[in-house]
Amino acid sequence: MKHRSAEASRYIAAAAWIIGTLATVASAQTVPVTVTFHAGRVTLTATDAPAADVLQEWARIGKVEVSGAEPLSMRRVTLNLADVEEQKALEQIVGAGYGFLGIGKSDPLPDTSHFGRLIIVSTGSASTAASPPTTAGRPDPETTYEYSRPRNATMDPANYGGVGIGATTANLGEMRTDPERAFDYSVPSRVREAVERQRQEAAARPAAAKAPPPSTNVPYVDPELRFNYYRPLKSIPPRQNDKNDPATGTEPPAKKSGSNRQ
Amino acid sequence: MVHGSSRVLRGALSVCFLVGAVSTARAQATRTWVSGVGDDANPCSRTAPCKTFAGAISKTAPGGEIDALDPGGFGAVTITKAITIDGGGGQVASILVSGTNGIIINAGANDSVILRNIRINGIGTGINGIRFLAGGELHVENVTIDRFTNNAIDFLPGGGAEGYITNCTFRDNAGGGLVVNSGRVMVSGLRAEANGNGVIVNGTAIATVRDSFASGGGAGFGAITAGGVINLENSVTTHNQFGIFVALGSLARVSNSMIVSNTTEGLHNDGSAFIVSLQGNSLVGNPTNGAFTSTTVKQ
Repeated sequence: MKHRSAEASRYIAAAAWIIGTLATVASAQTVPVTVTFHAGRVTLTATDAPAADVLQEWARIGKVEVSGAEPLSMRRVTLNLADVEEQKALEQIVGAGYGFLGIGKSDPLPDTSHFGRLIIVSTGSASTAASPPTTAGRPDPETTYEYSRPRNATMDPANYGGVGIGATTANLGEMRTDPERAFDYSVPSRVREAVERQRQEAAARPAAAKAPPPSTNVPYVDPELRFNYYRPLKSIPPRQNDKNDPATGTEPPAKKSGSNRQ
Repeated sequence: MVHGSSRVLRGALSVCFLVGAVSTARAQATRTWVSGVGDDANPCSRTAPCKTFAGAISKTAPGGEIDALDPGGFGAVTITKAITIDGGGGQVASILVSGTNGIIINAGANDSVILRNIRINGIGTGINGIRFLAGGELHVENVTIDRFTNNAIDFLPGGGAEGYITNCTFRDNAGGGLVVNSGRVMVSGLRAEANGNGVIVNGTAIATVRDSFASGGGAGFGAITAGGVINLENSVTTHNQFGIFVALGSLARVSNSMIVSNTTEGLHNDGSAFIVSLQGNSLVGNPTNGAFTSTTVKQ
């Protein structure tokens, strides 16, 4: 009798161990996201989890109010981040096409996020569709910037249509409209996508709606293009046959740089 | 005999208490002084200045003023009454804090607090530069607030408190420059450089900003709560992710301002909020400019 009772308790213990193990495995499968915060940095693991779930866990552990994360339920992420800045981690969670605005906590708690509120926003097609068209299918110049290189490093006329020192009338005809085009900044992928989208939209518009092609005889020149930011104007040699040269007295066409005032 | 000595003792105690009270009242000067070489054991007079703002504040009468005699670091302080703290022009009166707030204001409902000519540096670990919890008015003039993990100024008073931020610079504060959670704030001449955000209305509150710029943050200016309003006049928002950010039923009114060269959107609206142009704005040079929801003609 005593022997049978000991055997039964052994069975019960084994069954309990199996159940415990199964429960552990099951819980590991149902919670593929772990988030911990420490000193303004975050450690995060997520395995093929919806980004919205990752943000939900972020909100729970970090004591953050997150809004606008619903569209991210379709995006699945696998991340293994150790002790990274919160901003960097969030950028990876929301991915391209989305951004976020974070508001710092008034009174941060230890081992929580330093954000009190996070608003997830779409920065892709939805926002673009809501925007009014800019100038006649031409993307804004800043969309082509690459922000990584110092400005001085790109002062090669070949980079920006030949405007500036040594420019000629011929290459002024190919000139783009804003001096900032000469700058070489790194282009974020979402910006590149936005530019491409604008180009495609412009191409898809009916021919009548398109702006007339710029005249090659009288190119539009921003007044600032005549400025030389790297040495005094006095030191620029006068350009021969340059219709837009201030030295010849010919003014550029009448388009004003502040024409987009609203 | 025992009864008599107890009466004597009680009398002596009363005299001591009265003397103490009188001397405390005498210590509450209308103007006190701090110095880099002062001592908080001093009476905070010009000839015997204190070492810290916290040491001087208890010796300053309500409505009085603490002035800095010379450059120095005068420490974090909690203000619970109407007072002026003036670091003096042309010198460095600094508050250097780590892991805490620079100045906390928890004053009476009618108290006016004035902070002038001070540099507050969180050295990357301080929480908020100025945290306004309660009071009637907060005036911040010529104050520079750098490198806090949360906000340069966290404005969250109860009731109808008002803030006036004039000619200030907020730099490299990870959470944000000015966060207005409640009350009303008037900002003039603000330089918000590389903060988490520039000026954000994060509650049923109003911020009116003029002659200011915000650059290098998430949003230059914004409102993100229903009932939150930000008015912007003659200001510039550039090199932010979002020039002006409105969401969740909030409202921005913008006039004579430039929203240029931001890296994601000039005007971001989640569709539930409003960005009203009061005319004279330049909205150009953003990958996506966005759109004003309406225009109100100048009158």
